[in-house]
Amino acid sequence: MTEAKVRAFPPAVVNAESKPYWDAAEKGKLLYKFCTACKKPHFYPRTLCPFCFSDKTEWKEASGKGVIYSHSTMRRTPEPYTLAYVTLEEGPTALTGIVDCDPDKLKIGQKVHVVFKPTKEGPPIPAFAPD
Amino acid sequence: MTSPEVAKSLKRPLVKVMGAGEAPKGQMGGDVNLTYSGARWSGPTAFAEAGVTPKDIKYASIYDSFTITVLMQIEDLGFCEKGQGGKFVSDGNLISGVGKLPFNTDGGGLCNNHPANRGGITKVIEAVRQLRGEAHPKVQVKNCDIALAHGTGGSLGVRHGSATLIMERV
Repeated sequence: MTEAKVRAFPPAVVNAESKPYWDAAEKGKLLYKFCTACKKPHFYPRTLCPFCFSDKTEWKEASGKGVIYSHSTMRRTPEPYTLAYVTLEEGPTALTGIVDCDPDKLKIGQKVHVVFKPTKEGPPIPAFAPD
Repeated sequence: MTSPEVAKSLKRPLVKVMGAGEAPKGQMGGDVNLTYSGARWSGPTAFAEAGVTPKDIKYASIYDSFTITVLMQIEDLGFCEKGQGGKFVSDGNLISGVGKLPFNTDGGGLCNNHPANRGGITKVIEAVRQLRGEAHPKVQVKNCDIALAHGTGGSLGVRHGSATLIMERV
């Protein structure tokens, strides 16, 4: 880490649809959803499949491994942070953050893994760190 | 805008809508691809309704929140091959009187106007000026009979709406 200050994640707003996701995050597990009607995985998880609108979606646990699809670092702030799309091993690409890294050394295609960052008043937030 | 009957009584150069297309592009359930915009859907819809192709467009107003916005739209609308937008622009194709696709002759959003979330209407205004022959003489396109106005609203990679309008001089 070259940064002196690390941006704290704001707590997530948990609702009925997303509660299983955040409950799993408390246990250090990353969940995604899979539609048994059209056989496609998706992220972020919804009750209705975003591809075929079926309600036959089920929770699955992701390996937590992925690669960076694209990334961007916000530097004009006291606590710089990096946003990224990470393509999960299971297929879907997630909008997330890259942490515990030197932003200048990140590369598209780089292997990353999920880490859970605590929040003050809520469940930990999944983010990704370079392998 | 007015009815055809009233328009004919106004003794002004008339401009008519030939075709229009709209399309949203969302987060795609995680099937993310940042290299195209909703223009790949709104464009063909508008061209099909108008019965013309990108080669028929004499002038284009394209929303330019950033330079990358224009590059992606030019490609997605079919004015050049996907991935060739940079070369198309650096070859001078957007310059009125020089290139294939005279573009944003009012200066566009980057050099002249960007009225908050109303950037679309200024695109239509300059396209209509071109069709009427009322653009600035230094940038007026000769024999400008068909023009296109296009814009995206939202985030360019995901989560935006895309709208394409093709107009003709009557």
